Amino acid sequence: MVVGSDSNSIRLLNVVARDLQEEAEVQLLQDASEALDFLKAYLTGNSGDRAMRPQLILLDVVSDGTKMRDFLSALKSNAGLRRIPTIALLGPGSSDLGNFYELNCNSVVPKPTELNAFIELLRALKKFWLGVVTLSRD
Amino acid sequence: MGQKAKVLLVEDSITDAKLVEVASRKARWIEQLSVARDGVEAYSFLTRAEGYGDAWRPDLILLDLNMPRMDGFALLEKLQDQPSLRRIPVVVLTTSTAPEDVRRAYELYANCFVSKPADFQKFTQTLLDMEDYWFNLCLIPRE
Repeated sequence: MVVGSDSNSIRLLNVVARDLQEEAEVQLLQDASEALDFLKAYLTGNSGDRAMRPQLILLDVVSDGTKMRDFLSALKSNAGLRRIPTIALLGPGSSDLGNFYELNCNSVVPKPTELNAFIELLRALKKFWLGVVTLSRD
Repeated sequence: MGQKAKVLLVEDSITDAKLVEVASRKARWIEQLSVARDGVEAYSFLTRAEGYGDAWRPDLILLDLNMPRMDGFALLEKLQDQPSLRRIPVVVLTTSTAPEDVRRAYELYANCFVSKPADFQKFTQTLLDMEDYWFNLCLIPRE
């Protein structure tokens, strides 16, 4: 699941999602509160056909860092959601790095600006989080 | 290869700590490795408590779970007390694969949970994969 991108990044991510469709199911949610509602609906079983528990959450914090920090706090204080690894995509020169770790973000990576680098990033994240790491089942 | 790292290993088994030391020499990315035998020692090291004046700030913590005095879960809980300690990524590195341990570690905000392979070659590869991820791909605070 990718949360919080601006519309340019969303366009890019849609292409990435299409390119990776056989390797990963990518859900894009532009708005942080929509993403939180979506995840909470999953917990209560009210999300109907869209029900899913993402294995990884990517937070695009470039467009609105404050909103994304709030989203991260809400996510990590929710007993049902905090075990899902959350990775922040940070822009160059941001001074927020330490803050995201303080808010218990699982890791922070630089946000790629072009398509191939984005695809490579998602592959590297998949390799580590779904290959090397053991995830919580629920 | 990315930047070299300072790592605090929290591990009570001398054999397992030796294994990490040998494997990390092969993986070559760990510049400085200190071993704490349990959570009490690790917390003293991290907070530079009395007797730990020479301690340095690690870039990453490798944490075993089952230890005497203060186990890995209790240390994870203690690390939440101080914002500056929350900035240091914690990799739980354990022989356990028990779903309850995995669940609890993430519940207590471990950054990731890695089950230690018994085979030495595989274990060295796991350390290389960790280097790739944490020090070539990720951004981590170094202050």
